[in-house]
Amino acid sequence: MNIEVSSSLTKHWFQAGGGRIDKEEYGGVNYVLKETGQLALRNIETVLCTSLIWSILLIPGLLAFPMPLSGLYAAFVGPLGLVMVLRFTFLAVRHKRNKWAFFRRGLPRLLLSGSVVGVMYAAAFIVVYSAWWYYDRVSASISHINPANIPHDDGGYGINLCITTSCPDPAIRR
Amino acid sequence: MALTYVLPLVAQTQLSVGRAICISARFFFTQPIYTLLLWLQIVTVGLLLVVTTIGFMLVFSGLLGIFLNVATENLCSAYGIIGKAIE
Repeated sequence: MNIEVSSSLTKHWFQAGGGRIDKEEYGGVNYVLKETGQLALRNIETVLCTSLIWSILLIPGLLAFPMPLSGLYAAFVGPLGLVMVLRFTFLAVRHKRNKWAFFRRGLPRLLLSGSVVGVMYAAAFIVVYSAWWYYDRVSASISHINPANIPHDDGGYGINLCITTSCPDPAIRR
Repeated sequence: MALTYVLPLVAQTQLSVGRAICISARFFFTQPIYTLLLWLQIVTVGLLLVVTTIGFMLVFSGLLGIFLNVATENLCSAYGIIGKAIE
């Protein structure tokens, strides 16, 4: 295996990596897709249970809170839950027998790391939401342009076109 | 996109978040097309499952977990990074 460490900063983090890839062990996206399909079918109960728990954690909070809070909740709980899902699916796939023991052992550290990532995503959400809030409330000239309200040549508005084209045309019978 | 591999790296190798961000950025800048194709798959499958609603609740995050784990393992083995996965 080629060992090439390009900078001292990453030396300890990339102990054997660098910039060069070992082509024999690199499968590409095709390999990832095939392997994911096989593993997901073999571990379908893990996929279903983890997804359901993640959704149960995420979706009620999204529906219950008003907008800024629900976005913050999703930005924090989503990655935190996803770290747990990733850890459990990894253990279920690679260490079937001891998955619960390993999961319990790494749980506190995982919660801490997941919380840090969640705070990062929540901060990013605050930046995006505050920018939207600024343009909506303070400088309202940009965000109040609604394409649906632009009049068309036929006398209607853009929204009429959207509605009529998305409705099925019923057959008229005498 | 540079943060694609942060969560699986944290989950698999129990690295600190800072280290995981550095390695993830390194993965992204050395393999941008690979990461782009991963995102294409994630977005496509996510949109299809959102349309069905119940499919999103039942399948999405578990499938995403296995997908990201396999993708990150693939890169880690190619770069020779053997994480101390469970120690």
